Amino acid sequence: MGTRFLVAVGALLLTAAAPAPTVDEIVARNVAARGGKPALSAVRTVRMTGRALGGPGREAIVRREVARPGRIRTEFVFQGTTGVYVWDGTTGSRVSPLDGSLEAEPLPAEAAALSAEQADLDGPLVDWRSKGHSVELVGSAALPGGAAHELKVTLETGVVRRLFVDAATGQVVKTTSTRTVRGHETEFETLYGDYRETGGVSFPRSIEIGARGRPQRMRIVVESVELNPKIDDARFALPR
Amino acid sequence: MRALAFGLAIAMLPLAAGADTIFLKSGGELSGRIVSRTAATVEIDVGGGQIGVATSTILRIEEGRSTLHEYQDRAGRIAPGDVEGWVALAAWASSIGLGAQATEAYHRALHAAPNDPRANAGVGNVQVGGRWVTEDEGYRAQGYVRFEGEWISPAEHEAILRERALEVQQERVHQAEAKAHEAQVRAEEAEARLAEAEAQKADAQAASEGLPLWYGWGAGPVSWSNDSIARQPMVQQHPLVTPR
Repeated sequence: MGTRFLVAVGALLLTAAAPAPTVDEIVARNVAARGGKPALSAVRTVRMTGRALGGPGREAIVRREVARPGRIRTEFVFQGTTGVYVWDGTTGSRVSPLDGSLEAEPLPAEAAALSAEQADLDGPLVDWRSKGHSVELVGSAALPGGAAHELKVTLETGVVRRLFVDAATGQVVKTTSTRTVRGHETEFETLYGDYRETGGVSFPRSIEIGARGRPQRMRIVVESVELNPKIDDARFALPR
Repeated sequence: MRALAFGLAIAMLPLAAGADTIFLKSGGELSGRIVSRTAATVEIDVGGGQIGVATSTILRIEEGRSTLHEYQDRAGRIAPGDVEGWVALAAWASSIGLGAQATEAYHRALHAAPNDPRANAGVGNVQVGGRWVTEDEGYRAQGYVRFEGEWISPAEHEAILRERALEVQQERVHQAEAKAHEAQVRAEEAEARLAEAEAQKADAQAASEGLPLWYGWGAGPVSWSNDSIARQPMVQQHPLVTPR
């Protein structure tokens, strides 16, 4: 039993002794931790670059551009191939050499839904009521980094995400979601860390994705964040 | 084998002169060496395999010095026993997305220094009981089992087999309007185990399909491996260059 675990349990007990915060308080804390509503609203576009690390021999260069309202473009550069995945707010396309496609084709339904979700620059907690989401406080969880508030977020689409908001920092440190893979219900978890500020807004610089109980992980290390770069609308559509 | 590799390396030298980037009309890009051109197709070696591109899908081709070409140049200047040189080259190749070349360079380093921790880690080896073993052997040593391209716990493995057996049984019950029996479930479990053997044949292809979820970032490829590029035998199976 590690020291970090004991600290986490201790923090959890202290949290349990205090009155549980409301959903609105947790969300307000999270928004403040990210830089505050005015700072977040001032971000019209963002461009990120970094690396995806999927194990030995699998290190890719990744780029991501997000623009209001609800548009996203991701690029994946690996072994001489550049894949492009776009969502223009309504429809999605991809050219994905690693998946055997050199011509633009519609994004698979799951990728399209994921893109639409990630195209929300503010994230699901900001203005969640007006977005049609519902947020419910499930309880507290002892995570390795400390106690966290567990929120059940039901997106307007019906998709359920569980967000773990660090009780001390107010940042989202983990999300989980369940999906069926080859007929078996599998829980996926995403860990967020190394939050750093850019232009008054904080972004996680480390994103680790994996299935619960399985050893293999993919990690994205964000190396640069650029706020409000000029991004041509054409970048969110692919010629067909 | 070395003679064959040397022959192949020599045979490839003229190809190294052309370093190109193909810009696709769809917005994608391919960078490497063009190895053949016809009126209908351009074949490009991206360092992890060759990809045939229909000319009708190409927006333009820019000739230039590709990173693959640079890798070859650098590799050509490293002596076989220069562990530091190979490790540094591997790290550089990995950082620019040349996974196959990174793996090759790490293997060169391993050949010179079998216990080098950086080279071992670079090819995915892990230490078990004081010796370096492959990544797969490491997972196996930790008690994981490989199933349909994924390393999972025995408990999850059993659960999946049970679920599948139950699904098959329920389907049969539904169709035949007959009652299910525990014995039949066990029989179906045995059947599922047999099916597993067949599923494992597809392991290599499915090896990178376990993390199609890019939550927290955006969309990305479903498959992520050199195998998904190579329609032809991987170039990395043979040295791209012959070190001095």
